Amino acid sequence: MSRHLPHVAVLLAAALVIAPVSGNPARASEVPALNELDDYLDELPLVLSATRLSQPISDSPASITVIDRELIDASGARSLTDLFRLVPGFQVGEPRAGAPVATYHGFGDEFQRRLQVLIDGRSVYIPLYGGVPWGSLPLSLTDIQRIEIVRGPNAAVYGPNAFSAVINITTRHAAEDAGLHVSAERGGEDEDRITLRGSYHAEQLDMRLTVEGRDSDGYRDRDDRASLGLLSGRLDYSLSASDALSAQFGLSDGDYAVGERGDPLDPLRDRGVRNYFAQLRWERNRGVDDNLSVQLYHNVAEWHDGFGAQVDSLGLLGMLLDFTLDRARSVSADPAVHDLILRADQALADGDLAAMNTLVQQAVALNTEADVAAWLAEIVHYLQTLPDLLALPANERAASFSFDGNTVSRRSEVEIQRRQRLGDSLRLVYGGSLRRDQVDAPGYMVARSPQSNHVYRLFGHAEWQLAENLLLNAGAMYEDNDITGSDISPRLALLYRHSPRSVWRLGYSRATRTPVLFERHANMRVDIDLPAALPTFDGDPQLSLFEIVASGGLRPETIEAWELGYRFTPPASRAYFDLKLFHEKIDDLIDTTIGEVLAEDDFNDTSSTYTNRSGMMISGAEIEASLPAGAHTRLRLGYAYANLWDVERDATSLPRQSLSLLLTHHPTPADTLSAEFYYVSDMAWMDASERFDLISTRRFDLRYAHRFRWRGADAHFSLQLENLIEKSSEYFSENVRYPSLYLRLGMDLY
Amino acid sequence: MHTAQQSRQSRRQPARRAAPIALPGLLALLALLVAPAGATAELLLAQSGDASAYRQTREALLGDLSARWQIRDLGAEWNAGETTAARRGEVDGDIATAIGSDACTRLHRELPDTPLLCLLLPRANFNDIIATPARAVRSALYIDQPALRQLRVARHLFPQLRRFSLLYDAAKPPPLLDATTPGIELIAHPLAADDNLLFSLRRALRDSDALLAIPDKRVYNRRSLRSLLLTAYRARKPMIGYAKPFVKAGALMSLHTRPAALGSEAAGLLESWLDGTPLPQPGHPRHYAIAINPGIARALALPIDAADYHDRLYAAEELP
Repeated sequence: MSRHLPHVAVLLAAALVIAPVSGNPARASEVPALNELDDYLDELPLVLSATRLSQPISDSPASITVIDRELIDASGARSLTDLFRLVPGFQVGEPRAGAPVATYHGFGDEFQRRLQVLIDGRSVYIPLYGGVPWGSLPLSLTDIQRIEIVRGPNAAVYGPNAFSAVINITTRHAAEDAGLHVSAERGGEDEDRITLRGSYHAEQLDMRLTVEGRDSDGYRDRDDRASLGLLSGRLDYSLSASDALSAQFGLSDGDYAVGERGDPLDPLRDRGVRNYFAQLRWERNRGVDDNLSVQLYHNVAEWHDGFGAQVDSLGLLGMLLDFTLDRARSVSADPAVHDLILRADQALADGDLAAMNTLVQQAVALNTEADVAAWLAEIVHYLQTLPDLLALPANERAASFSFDGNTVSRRSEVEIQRRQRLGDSLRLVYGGSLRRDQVDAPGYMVARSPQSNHVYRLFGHAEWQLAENLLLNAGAMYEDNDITGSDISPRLALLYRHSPRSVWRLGYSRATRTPVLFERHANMRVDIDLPAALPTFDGDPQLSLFEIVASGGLRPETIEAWELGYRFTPPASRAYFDLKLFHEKIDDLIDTTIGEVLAEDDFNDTSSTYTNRSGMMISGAEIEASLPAGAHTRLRLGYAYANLWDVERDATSLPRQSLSLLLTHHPTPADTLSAEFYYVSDMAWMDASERFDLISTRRFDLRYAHRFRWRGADAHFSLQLENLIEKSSEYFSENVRYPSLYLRLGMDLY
Repeated sequence: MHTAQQSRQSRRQPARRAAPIALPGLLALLALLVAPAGATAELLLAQSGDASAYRQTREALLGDLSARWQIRDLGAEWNAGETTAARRGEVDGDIATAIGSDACTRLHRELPDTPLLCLLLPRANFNDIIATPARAVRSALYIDQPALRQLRVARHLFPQLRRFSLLYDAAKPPPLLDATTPGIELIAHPLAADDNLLFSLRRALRDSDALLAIPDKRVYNRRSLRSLLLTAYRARKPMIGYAKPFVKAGALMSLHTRPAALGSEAAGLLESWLDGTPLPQPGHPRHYAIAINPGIARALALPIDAADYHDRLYAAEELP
């Protein structure tokens, strides 16, 4: 509990700052008299500009899932990634507390590199290792207004890395906040969260400040934990009737447990995470379809991590042997080899040198792919040194090593965008941006850090009304970067309005993913100084483990996606049915290859590198529907079916089927009852697949929320029961979710 | 509609746009063309400032008055803050017309014995002004369009909208509350002295289809409008503005008064007065124009062709 205290202290201090700042824009004081010029005739600032208005989804040329505030509240989501369970085709997992991940159409691991994620137009992708620090973004779930998820590549609109999908998050305009908001949540495995938000309003200015503290003890059966404090602010300033300025900043600081207890090479430790950003946006709106914006931002993501230790060579030896077996297991899919390794495992556990020698003979006889026999022979060799080691005094067996896991990733970008209408039937959006990524990661890019990348981008897309019921969408992005040079990502979609209630869409798009700086410049290893008493390993006194050495020459990954969509909007209030049939072809996938012999001197068969490998294909169907059942009940459904063809890897990272159901019912306007069911068929995350850790998830949650007034304040509380039908695993099979209860209380004061 | 076209045509004549210097000549010409019948009178005309809305009202008024009138025009230079006690004798007429609140306030105070017609001012302001009684009659054409008319037209254009929330300062309940119209439900949300506007708005939006804005400065002002429009839009509930600028800012639609149409209507009242009809009770203008924000309509999935209603003027009793 003691680690919770700093956050509480920070929150209390923040409350003292925020409370006096929070002003009420309309408390009855001296209300001035009306004036015909001010109150009836003079121009007012454009508040709902085209960029703020959402185009009806049925007019959208792509498959889009919208998660608005109402759905965020109804789903009872406790984290941002929780929400993506509602999106067909998404996979969500939390390998450890504080580091959740989300991916679209498989290939997910801790560093999902194929999603573009924008928060108010700011890319939060980490240029060093890819992915989004979902668990430590300086963003409170309570400040989010709307999330649009474009299911499919869309670089022409959303920029580089809009590869498999785009998540576009919009926070609330500061004018939408009032007074002081406090909310607290507690439940599960000692998880809690406190959020405090204050706002201030003046004639032309709206301001908001949010502070949040979160703590979690993670999975019951694991040693994980996480805690985070964040502070974010937004200032909206209305310069004139047409010009507006928006400034934002955010800072988060926390840590989460990584590594494993008892593993000297990856010890259990807290990894510090810090993220901060500043963003400025100027916008000029001259009408509904006449907009010019300039935006700049600077984003920083840091890891504070590292470890060092002295280990007994005996333990190291045992680990090396396990590691060798693991490697043999992961390389071969041959059941005979697996059987052999199983027996080698037993022989190793028994220290049975004779049995191991026999197995080596058998491995040679099997004559399968890979060097299984050679690796088993290595084990025999190690086992032979065991008696010598045992004879030594402990201090002479010690091996020491250290690893510097500190990283800093910075991204700065300036973007200019123009939106205009040319005539009745043509709308255009175009612009350009300059971006600079800088990373420093001495332990991950030994002797190669720091590194940087520059990206120049031009983009444009047009919406052309060909006929009354035919809309053509065409666009492209030209990108030039230091890593892979230049590329063009085009996109084309045709929308046919079959009736006022039904729309067909046909689309093609192509996008690329530039390797992240780690994939380009990796030089990662743990160097262990071996004791003299361990004379094996080719006479090298240093042993390098977990080597990943980038060899350069990577091409960008490319995706080509075709989709056929149909959307039906029944007359009932906000009901819809959306079907998407898709086919995706991914080429030049960047993947690690183990043991490839390259010119690099220090490259040996324990190393891996990044190469472009052959492609793969994904086909399937996705359904999303929102169906009212009576005036007070609504069912929301998301379903995905997909088939992955991959010749090089087991196609297990993409589940064949997934389903989400959310049923909400309002017995009275102040009460909400909801039930949620999630199902994901067998899948394995990429970093779990080597362990053949296939899991399937069934989850059932119930929720009750009540809104009430308490001493003039608007208040609400909710009670949430999760994982009711069975325990289910998440990400790794040992990550078990037990039935748990969460309680949330919130209040709007003043 | 007939009246609307007439008034538009008359405004298109270049002579009507001429500088005040050209006016006496023009009036002389009119006097020759239109033979004056019966009585003549002197009209004292004051306007609150030089804003274009005041000018448009004045030009339309003068343009539509017959040659029977002699105009004593205090013009735009006339400053509401300046004392005219010394000039009280010289500034007078058979009847006075004030354009805007300031001019109305001043003429009401300074000419207690002269009939006064105030134009283009908020209804609330006129009521405040005449709280101090005068000996001669006081009448007005407000800038406001009646809220009930707003409701009827909104309901007609957007049949999906049936329940309207009305947010107002509890200290100043609007007269609209007593009225009922079939097919329209009005839900009153008075704002007590301690109430937070945005929290009240959120509650108001929950049980209605749209928010009806009324001229109540406690609720609708330059400081609060961003919050109101954004919050209503997030709740997917459109705002019906009470004035045209609301529409560009982000309201779905508004009925509003065209200053020129109001000027023409005032000219008609003055002519009748000269013919012996007393000034009518203070009231709302007979004509209204509609503004629609097509972007908002599209975003809220309310189908309408905004261009159909653009630049047209409707008479009080007609629906578009």
